[in-house]
Amino acid sequence: MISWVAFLALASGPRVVEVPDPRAHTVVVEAFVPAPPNMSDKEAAAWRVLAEALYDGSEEFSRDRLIQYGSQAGVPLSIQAFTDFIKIQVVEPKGGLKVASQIVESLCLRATLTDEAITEAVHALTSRNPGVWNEALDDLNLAYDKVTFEQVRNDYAQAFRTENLTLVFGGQIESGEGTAQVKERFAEPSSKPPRRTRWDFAPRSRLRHLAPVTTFELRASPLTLTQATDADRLLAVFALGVGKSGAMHRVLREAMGLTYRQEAVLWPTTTGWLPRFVFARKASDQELGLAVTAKDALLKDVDTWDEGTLTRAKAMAASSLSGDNPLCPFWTGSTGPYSYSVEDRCSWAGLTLMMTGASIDPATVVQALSKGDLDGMKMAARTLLDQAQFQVIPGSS
Amino acid sequence: MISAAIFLGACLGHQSRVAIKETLPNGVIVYAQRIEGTTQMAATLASVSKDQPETADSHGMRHLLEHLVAKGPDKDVDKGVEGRGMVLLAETTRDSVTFSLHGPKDTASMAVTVLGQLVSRFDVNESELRKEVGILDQEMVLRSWNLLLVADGWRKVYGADALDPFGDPAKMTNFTTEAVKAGFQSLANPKKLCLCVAGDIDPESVVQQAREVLGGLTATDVTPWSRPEATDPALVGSSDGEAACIPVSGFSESATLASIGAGFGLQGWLTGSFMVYTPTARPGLVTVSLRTGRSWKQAADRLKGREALVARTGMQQLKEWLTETASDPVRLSELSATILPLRPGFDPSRVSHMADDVSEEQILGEIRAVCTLASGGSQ
Repeated sequence: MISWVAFLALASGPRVVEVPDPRAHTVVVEAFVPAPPNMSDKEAAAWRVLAEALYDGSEEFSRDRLIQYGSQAGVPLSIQAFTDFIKIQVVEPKGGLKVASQIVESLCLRATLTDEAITEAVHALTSRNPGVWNEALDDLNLAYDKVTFEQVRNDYAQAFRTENLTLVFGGQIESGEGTAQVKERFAEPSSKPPRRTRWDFAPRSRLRHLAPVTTFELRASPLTLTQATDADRLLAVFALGVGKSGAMHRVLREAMGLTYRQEAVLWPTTTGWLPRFVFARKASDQELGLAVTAKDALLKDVDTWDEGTLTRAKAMAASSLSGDNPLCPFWTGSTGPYSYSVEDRCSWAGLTLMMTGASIDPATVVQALSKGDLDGMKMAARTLLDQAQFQVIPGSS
Repeated sequence: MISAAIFLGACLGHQSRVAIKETLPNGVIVYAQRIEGTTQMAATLASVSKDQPETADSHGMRHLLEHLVAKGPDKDVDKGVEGRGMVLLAETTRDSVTFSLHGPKDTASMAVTVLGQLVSRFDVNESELRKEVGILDQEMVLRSWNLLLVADGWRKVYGADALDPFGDPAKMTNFTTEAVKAGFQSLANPKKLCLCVAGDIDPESVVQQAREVLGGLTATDVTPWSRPEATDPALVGSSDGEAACIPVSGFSESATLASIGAGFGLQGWLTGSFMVYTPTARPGLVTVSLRTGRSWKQAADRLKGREALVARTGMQQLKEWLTETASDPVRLSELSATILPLRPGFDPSRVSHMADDVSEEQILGEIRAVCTLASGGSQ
């Protein structure tokens, strides 16, 4: 049985959650660090560079030592930048809680961020080709080459402060061991940050995929899983975009032959899970208005939903939240959706704590969904689609 | 009648397992393994290409069939399985087409029934065929740059006949419905089929049900074919990047595992690199791709003096990968289903111990070979 214990370890310290799992053969330590608020595009570029430059190490852990110590459990150190937060994850063999905590503490509070590391990070990001789907999900059009060293270090000083952190300790640990690490390593409040410097930026040019593929997206407002209406909205997400009997697959792929890949994604942000209905299609000059056509077709499909649709949505939600569904829409990292791995369970706990101030047990969400009814789900689906914003990223010709 | 049965009981790590392997009289191989404590079940039905690989004329037929068969004989298979919280996924590789059902542990019985239905009956009409070729055309543009490099690597190492299993949608438009139906008969030949189910399940009841569901399929003879071994590693490049390609033997060989370990180690130490290996009992390929802006020569320079550390990282990741594979129903069922038809002696319940057959020295040797190749033979 896995217990979920969320609490504030110190009055002004980080938020902490423990996810002990006696069956795990590893320990996991994660930090979630929100970005400074209201970032411009140029500032967002610096935020991405910062995450990449963190791989270069800290005062105590050089790049080589990070790779060595960070992969002892066979799971490499992971530092992922999202639109408005960074996630650091260290996995160690059982008994390695202290080492994992040291690495996370060192990266969060004493990263080196040398000029060379930042230059290397810019090079890595500009030469990266994450593929069409990841480009669509991470739809920022960022001019990394204009980022300055000062910007990156200023962001780090602003964001990486003990009181901003959400920390997760999980896997093969005893209850209370995470708190002890927090008291030992994250008790000191960070020194007052330098004044935040804002950076002017060039007007955003239109983002374009490197590949000849256009992606279309309908994006709704975030779900926190704490509001009364969230159960209906979540069921609507599953009915619309999860699985091959979901409306997107049935309508956009099977009936209209428009796409190969189409799905709903619940994308993590500091304010909740962002419902995003995305489909990709070979670029053509016939695509103008396709997003509206798709939305209208999906709205029409909602009218046909019956009790079977509701049953399917509940079943897919239950298997997704149990970590048993490879088509789960909840993304807990930038490489894929939530699963039952100890790393993903830790990420879920940390993300929900960061989003809402309280870690949410997925089982309670399943319980709430079981009470949803067909009319509520259909109404929520119509509202999601009606209020969604369009995002189209054209493909290269 | 049971032609062969092996009962395995083992205590591996913290999980006790019971596994049953059986070959049905018509040739279907069935393997079921209990992994206690998992909430999930996975069932994979693989059709392994035991006979002649695709030719220029049939290129892409198996991939097209994968799409069409996965819909089910009445085109409604997803509705039923998703109502139980299950998901059906399908994949085509060089040596197999797999259909996998993942779901809660109490759905194993339904999974076996559904997978059996997929290979028991098939029909397709002209418009369905054309629509699916159109969808494959949409799929083709989504292929990542590193998978395209992998395809180049196969051609360079194994020759021009090593056709990419994706196929060419433009050529698929020439397929007739009759040819596709004949392709199904070959794909559903029991002598090519292997069903593997893993999770917190009862192996005996799974095997019993498999006998009922798959035992009635009619077999036809296949002419065995084997891929010739390749030995020399190679570098391939495109405008998108560069890949080091290491030819390997079958999956369970220790030399193959050493190459996979080397791939893990290199991926861990080279920023932005991708390692790809598709498990097969036949000779295969481990590739490590670097995106444009990084050359393998630069990578070899970066690794100079660090090779032993890279080998250690590779060993750690290989162990973790095998441990996770052994305890994850999805990974275990997919791996077993693709390996067993060509290597019946393969024991999936031993996967977590396979790293014991590999030494860090072997991995180091593979890493040095790649670095020497990347440096133009100068290291």
